[in-house]
Formats: sequence, structure tokens, C-alpha cells
Amino acid sequence: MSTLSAQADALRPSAAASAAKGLWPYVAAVGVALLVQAVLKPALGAYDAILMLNVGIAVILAVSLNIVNGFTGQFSIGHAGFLAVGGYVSGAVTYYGSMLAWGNADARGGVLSGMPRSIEGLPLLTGAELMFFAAVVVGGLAAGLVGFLVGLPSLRLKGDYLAIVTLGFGEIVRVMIQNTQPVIKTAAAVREAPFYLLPVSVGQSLGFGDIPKYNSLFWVYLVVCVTLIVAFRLKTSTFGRAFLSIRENEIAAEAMGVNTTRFKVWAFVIAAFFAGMAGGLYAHTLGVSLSPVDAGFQKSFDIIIMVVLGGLGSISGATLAAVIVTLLPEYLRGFIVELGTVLWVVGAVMAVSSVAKLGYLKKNARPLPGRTIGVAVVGGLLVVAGLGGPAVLPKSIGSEVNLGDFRMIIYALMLILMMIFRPQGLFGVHEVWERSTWGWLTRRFGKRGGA
Amino acid sequence: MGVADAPVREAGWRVTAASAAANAILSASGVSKSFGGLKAVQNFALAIPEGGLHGLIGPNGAGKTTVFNLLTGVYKPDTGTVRLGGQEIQGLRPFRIAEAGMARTFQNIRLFGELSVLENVKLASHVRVRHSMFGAVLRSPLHVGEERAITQRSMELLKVFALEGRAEEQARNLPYGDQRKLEIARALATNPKVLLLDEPAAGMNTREKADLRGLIRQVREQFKVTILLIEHDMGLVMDVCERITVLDYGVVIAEGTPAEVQVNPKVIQAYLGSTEEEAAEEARKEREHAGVVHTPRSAGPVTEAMSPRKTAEQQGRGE
Amino acid sequence: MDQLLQTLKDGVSLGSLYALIALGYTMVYGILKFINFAHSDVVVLGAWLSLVIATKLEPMVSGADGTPWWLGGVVLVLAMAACGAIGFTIERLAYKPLRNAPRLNVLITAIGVSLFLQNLGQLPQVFGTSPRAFPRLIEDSALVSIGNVNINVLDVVGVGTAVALMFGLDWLIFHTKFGRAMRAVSFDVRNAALMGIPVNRVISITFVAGAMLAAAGGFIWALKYANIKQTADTSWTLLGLKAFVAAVVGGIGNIRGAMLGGLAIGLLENFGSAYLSSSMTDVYVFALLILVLLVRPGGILGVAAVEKV
Repeated sequence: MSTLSAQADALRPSAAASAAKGLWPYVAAVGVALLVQAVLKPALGAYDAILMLNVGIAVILAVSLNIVNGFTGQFSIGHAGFLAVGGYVSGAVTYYGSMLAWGNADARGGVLSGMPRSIEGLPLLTGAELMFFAAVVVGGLAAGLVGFLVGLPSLRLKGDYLAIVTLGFGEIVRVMIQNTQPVIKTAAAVREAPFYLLPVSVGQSLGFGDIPKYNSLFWVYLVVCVTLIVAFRLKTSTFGRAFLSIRENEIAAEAMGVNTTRFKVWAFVIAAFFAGMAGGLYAHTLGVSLSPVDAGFQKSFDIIIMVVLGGLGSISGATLAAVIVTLLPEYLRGFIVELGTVLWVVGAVMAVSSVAKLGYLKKNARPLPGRTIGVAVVGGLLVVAGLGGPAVLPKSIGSEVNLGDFRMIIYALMLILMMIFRPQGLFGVHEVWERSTWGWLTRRFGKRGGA
Repeated sequence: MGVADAPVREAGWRVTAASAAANAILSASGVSKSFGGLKAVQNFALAIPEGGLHGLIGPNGAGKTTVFNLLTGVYKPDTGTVRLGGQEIQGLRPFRIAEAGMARTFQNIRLFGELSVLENVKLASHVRVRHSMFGAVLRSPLHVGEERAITQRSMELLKVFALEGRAEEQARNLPYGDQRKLEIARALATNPKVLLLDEPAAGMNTREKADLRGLIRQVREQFKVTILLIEHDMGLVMDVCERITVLDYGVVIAEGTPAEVQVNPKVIQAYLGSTEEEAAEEARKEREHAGVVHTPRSAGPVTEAMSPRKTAEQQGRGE
Repeated sequence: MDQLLQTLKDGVSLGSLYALIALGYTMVYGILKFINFAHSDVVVLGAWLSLVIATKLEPMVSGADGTPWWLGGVVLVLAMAACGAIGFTIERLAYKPLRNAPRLNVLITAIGVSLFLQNLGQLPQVFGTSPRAFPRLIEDSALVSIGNVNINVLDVVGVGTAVALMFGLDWLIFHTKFGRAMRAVSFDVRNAALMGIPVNRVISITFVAGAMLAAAGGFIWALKYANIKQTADTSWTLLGLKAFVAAVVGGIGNIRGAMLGGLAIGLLENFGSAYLSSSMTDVYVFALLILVLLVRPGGILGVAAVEKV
């Protein structure tokens, strides 16, 4: 066989041709972001616009984590730590930069920034806004660097141990933020303060809320699009195959010439970079006060839920799950149902499904598992309790249930049930447009009985 | 297919055994490895000339896969050197050894199950890729060129193994025999000088094994690779290999042509059992080679005695 | 000198609590080879269940003489029983179906169970989100004084319980037939089953025992620190994490290691807090974890596993 290089040189396109093909998605990203800002923002109203913004940030976080957990199969559960690093670093840059340059930390953005504002008389883009975005990128780079320093020693560890170390990392970041200095509030004090003090004066547990609020749908969706493009292009390249091979069979991957350590660290660093950018955007969002909690495991678990539900390894899955997980609380909030109704509906589902399964097994002369009978019985009891209402239930429980309280319980149950019944998540490692994602459908409903 | 990067060889390109060691593309000397108190491999030596087809046989637990693991960098030898084309490779990480030009298949299939057949083969081209991640993200000309080349080469490779029709199928859905072939195709995609096959015929029926003999020879001719193979099927080994090294209890007990090895008394003894004095000697060796549990050896014909039965140690390793 | 003794006492006291919880982690890991993230949540439930039971029982049994001394014991036993049942249910419903699944899946499930328990616990219908005070079941009077340092009843109870349980567990695992079955399952589940060991029962009992240990830990914590916060409060998860770190540092899967690790973490926290910075205690603990995992992953008493390909 001729060498790869020889064959490749013969097949490579001209620089001009590939420049156009290579760069157009990034240009389109700017266009999409402009469209979102121009059309969606006014259409949605203030509250929903912020919601869309949060959805975008969630997508960046989920897709970035997917690179480590999904593509490469390494279990990192401290991703929020990178979010916090990026947020605090970029916030400090913008805040103290503004203080030094203009004497205060007011937002001086143009048409594209901030949420919501009247846009009369504003320029399209201001220097201050560019500083903000540069700060966001710096935040990403800082997070990437931290990712490198943490990843290099840790990625030797396997499975559970790596998970614990990454969890510990997130906690260390949280505690270190709690031990920083208070924010310096006046321009004069900022000018007097020694330079090295500025990066660590970020507010401790009180939070860092004075960051000028430049973030807008435009900036968020610009980064969202770039993240998606990068993730997709990586996945469909030889590097994506390398990441996936490590996840599938690390020993074979190494034997086939993949430097597994280098790739694991790279995955970590890239994911950290985008999470840091997400953090930077988050820090500059209206209504947000950055706090140490943003580095903690609760936030990390939120992101994990998105990635696991969507499918470890699927970009479209992670995106979809991020959207759903961010929007669901909005629909559940204030959704008050009668406790009785909840009980008998849940009970009915349990009872009917297990009785149906028992019937099927009985018909095929198979043994009846005790667990299914148990579920049927419990289901029946719940139905009785639900229908019986106040006569059956103890007073202290109350008669109403606010589904908003149940949000995390629903997620937790979904995680558990997913792992039992569909461990690969919604789309598995495939994308929504790939045929292999829907194979299980054709197998179930296509040929009689399947393979 | 184009010509190899090495200088063009004419018909008589396979060197004779006499100059084998001097011209060896793969050689090992003094290689030993112990796991705790267990001496898995002692003083292993090997010399395969370029284009050679060498067999590595031995009873269960003799240490054959351990030798493979030592050659390919999965284990670091305690002592000894391994040379690939003149370059010392012992102690290097497996991916560096793949880069240097040695590829392998595994005794228990290690495909990338969720990936497609084509992607499995494409992955193995990664080691020869020159462009960076930035190039991939920006779709640079080099990236596009190399991706096209990778796809083309991988499809051609699949055609050789009659797998091109299944290119988009998930690798784990392939029938067993095809999975084994895919592993070989994948290893070849790294453009190796030396190919190590670990029990390629395991689990195959007679027809598939007959096909495999032809396939091994074809691979050597078409891809100009040197082949070292572990196998239990004596018919295949004696037919296909030019020289054979016999391992027992981690030690080389014989080396030579198939004809020579077949009549070697030590080899026969290792496979067929022994007299009482010899049994006592064996027991002494077994204590030294502690930890390995041997399945009892039958006194049937040579071929029957070599049916692959895993030792407890191998099961423990999860092979 | 006083500060040294005080710190030492505090460290041992806290350490024994960590040890108690670490024992549960290490047992489950030793037998089933996975980190039961939900273990710390059983600790929390143990504390809250103890609270509820104690609050219900106390008015019933105390008279003019105050609370009877044995009430604490009764509460403990009931809480342990309740948590044992919870542990059994968790194992049967969530972990058993994943017996043969890849480790990462089990880890995710464990996180799911942990989130479930935490958030279930703070539903208004269950324990709610307001902190509650634990009834004084035992007078925490000083038993011995060394200089200005008091060793209180609760210190002794805490250390005593942990040590007693450690010896009990040690005896169970190394000197009983059932313990031999547990060890067999920890080496090879399938072969243990082939040898006639009732694997399901062994695993269930392991979980139940772990959950009971967790309940004991929660009970003692509640006794000592009186003010119990909502179940999903970060302080609980931190407690569990640090106990897990203790198990790893001592050597995961090793009973004595859990004890040693617990003491190590307790002492580290208190000495670090007293002599270095009190707000960075969490960092010390996690830094130790990372150090141990990188330098000696088997832990102090653990054995480095030779990984064969």
C-alpha cells in the first residue's frame, strides 16, 4: 500500500476551495446568532429571552462535557469547576478592566449586547463589548489550562477513581473561591491596589455580581454554534474516531497507534475550554451573581444528567437533553396537582404495566418474578390510596403536590430507569440523523419479533 | 495498491534462514518477564527475516500471548531487547510501537463495537495522519485530503477481506468469522512492517480455517508484511509457517522448520505427556513456574492435544 | 499544649464518625466493587429518621426524671432497622438489574439514587427543608478532664461505637462462614455462585449492613451536632464525600483501613483547621485524596493491584 501521505497529497483540494468550505459554518454561525438576537429576542419578551439564554449556556456545557464523558468514555463529574474558573476569570477581567479604563463597571455595550435594552442610538459593537468577549475567551483559556493541569495526572485513573478526583476538583475550586478577597468597589481603590490582588478579589461567598452585564442571545448563540461545529467536526474526523476508540476499547486503541493519554487530556482540555467560555457568558448575564456554589457538585450533576439522558457520545442528544432539562422546570413550576390524582395515576401505570407483563408471562408458561408481583400490588395500593383521598391518607401529607418540588426526583428516577432500561441514553453514541439511532424502532415494530 | 515504501524486492526477496538473524526485521533476545513470583517468560529469543511467516506454538499457559504483549509494549520486559527494523522498541508504549510499524490482533476480539466496520478500519489509519485537530476543526486542505485518502484506503482494505458490503454495519453485529477478519484488516490499516496474529483461527470451522490459510499468504504477498502468528491449529501452522518457535513454561524449547519441530522429542513430550521420571521433572518445573494451573494433557495424537483450553490464569486475566 | 490535646480529641472524635461511615463504603466496594454514592444519603436519612423517632418516642417514655438512658439505644436500633430496609430496597430495585453492566452505568445509577433520596427527603411531605433540632437524649457531660480539655460522653459513645462496629465487622468477615461467603463473592461473583453461595442473599445482607452502619453514623452525628439540616444540604454530601475519602485513603475494601482513614481525615481536618486555615479544611481533605490516588492508589493498607492484560 502506498503511504497515507502520498495518497492524501494526491487527493487534497486547493487552499481556496477548502477555505470556503471550511469556514462557511463559522460565518453562518454569526448569521444565526444575529438572527436569534434580532428576531427571537423581541418576540419572546424579557423573561423567556433570559430562559433561551440559559438554554444556550446549558447546551454549551452539555456538549462540552459530552466530549469527555461521551466521546472518550472518561467519567468526569466536576465539570462545574471549569464553569466557575471561566466565569470568575472573565468576570474579573471585565470588571477590573472596566474600572481601570472608565472608572466604573457599567455596561457600555452596543446593539448586540445586554438583555433587554432599547437599542435607539446605540452603535452595533463597542470596544467595551469586544473586551467582554475577549474576556470570555480568556476565561475559556484559563479553564482549559486548569483542565490540563488537573487532567494530566488524573487521567491515569480509571472509572470510579477518576470520578471521585474530578468531584474533588470541583469542590476544591469552590472552597478556593470562598477564600478569595472581597470585591474592590471603587475605581480609586482599584487603581491603588497591587496588580496581583485584582484576580483574587472576587467576592468570596458573597458572590461576584458587579460584573457588567454584556451577555445577550447573540453572544451565547454565537458560542453555541461554534461549540456545535467544533464538536461535530471533531467527532467526524480521525480525532473523533480516536476518542471513540478509547471509549470502546482502550487497549485496542493504543495498539492501533492512538496515544490514549494525550487524547484523554486533550478531551479534558477542550471540554474545559468550552465550559469556561460558558462560565464567562454566564457571569455577564443579567440577573446573575457568580458564587462559589456554581463550582459545586450540584451544578456538575445537572450537566451530567443532560449528557446521560441525551446519550453519551451524541451531540444532538446532549443538545436536546440540555434544552429539555433547562425548560422542564419552567413547566413544572407552580404545576399543582391533587395528591390523590398523582397517586392513582402513578399507581395505575404501575399496576397495569405489571399485570400486563404477568399476563404475558403466564400465557407463555414462564415463571412470574416476585418483583413484578410486588410492583403490581404496590400499584394497586396507590390506586386505592389516591382514589380514597382524604379518608385514606394521613392529614400531615396535605392534599396538594407541587410538581416543581419533584423536578430533581423526576430527573433522578429518569437516570435510574435509563440505566436499567436504556443505558445508552436517548440516542446512544449516534446522532439523531443517523440510521443506527432508530434501529431499535425498526427491530421492534418492523419484522415480526425482530432479529 | 502502490508499492511498499521499502526498496522494491524481486521474486527472491525472502532471505534464507542462515542470514535471518542478521537481516531480521523483528528480533528479540534475552526477553524475560515475571509477575510477582511467577516467571511467565524466560530468556525468549526470536529472529524473523523480512517477509517471513513465523509461528509461535506451545501448550496452554506456555506464555505465548505474554510474548505478544511483550513485543507490542503492553508489558515492559524485565530484561532483554526487542528490535523492529533495527530500532529498539522494548519498553515503548504500544502506540509508539504501532507507529514504528508493528500491529497486532487479539486472542479475544477487541473491536470497537459501537463503531461501524469502516470506522474501525479508518481509526487504524490515525497513526499515519499528519494534520492536527485545528486542521480538522477548520477543514484544512490537508485534513480533507487525508480524510479522503483514509476512506479510500479503508474501503480497499475491506474489499480484500470481502467486508466492503458491510461497511456501515456496527462492528459488534458482525458474525464471528467476519469480526476476526475485520481485526486483521484493521491492523493492516496501520501500514505495518510486521503483523502479529493472536490465534486468528480460534472459533472458526474447517471451511473458514482453509480460507484463512490462503488469506494469510495473500496478506503477506499483497501487503509485503512479515507475519508472526500464535495458533493452536497444527494443521494450519505446519502448512503456512516457514519457521516455528515452540514455547513451554515460558521457555523456548525448540525452533526450526515445521518438519524439524514436528519430530523434536522435547516438543512431543511437551504436548503428549511423559514417563514417570519425566513427570517428576515436570512437577519440579511446575513448582518453579508457580501459579499456573495446567489442564491434564491427553495422550492422543498431537493435533488433538492442542485444542485451546484456557488456564485459570488466563481466565483471571479476562482474556 | 491544651490546644494540641483539644485538637487531638476533636480529631479522634470526628475521625471515628468518618470511620463509621467509611466502613459502609468500604464494605460495599469490597464486595461489589463499586462506589455507592447513595451511602451518604442513607446517613442523612438515618439522622432524620432518628430525629422523627426520637421526637415521637420521647414524650411517651420520659417522665419527671428526664429522658431514660436507654431511649438513645432504642432510637438507634429502630433507625438502623429502617435504614436497613431502605438499603435492601435500593439494592434490589436499582443495583441488582445492573449486576453485569459496565461500571460507569452503575456509577450513574448510584448518583441517581443519591439525588433521589436527597430530594425525596426534603419534600414538604417528608422531612421538609427547615432545619430541626435533635432532642437531647443523652446528657453530654464531661467524663474525664485532661487539663482544660474535656472528654465528653458523646465523644466516648462515638469512638466506642465505631470501634465496636469495626471489630464486629472484622469478626463477621474473617471469622464466620458467612464472612467467607462475602469474601468469595468479592473475588468472583460468578464462580461464587457456582460454588453454591447464595450470592443475592450475600449482596443484600452486605447492603443492609452498610445501611445500618450509615444509620448509626447519622444517629451519632445528630446526637453530637444537634441541629440537623435539610436532606439535600451540601454539608451532608460533603460529609459523605469525606468519609469516602477516608475509605480510599485507608485502603478501599479494607476494614481496618476504613478506621485508619477515618482517623486520618478527622485529625487532618482538625489540625489543619486549628494550625493552618479553618476555611480550607475541605481542600486539605481532597488534596490528600488526590495525593493518595496518584501516589498509592491502593491506600495506606491497600494492596496495589497488578493489572493484567
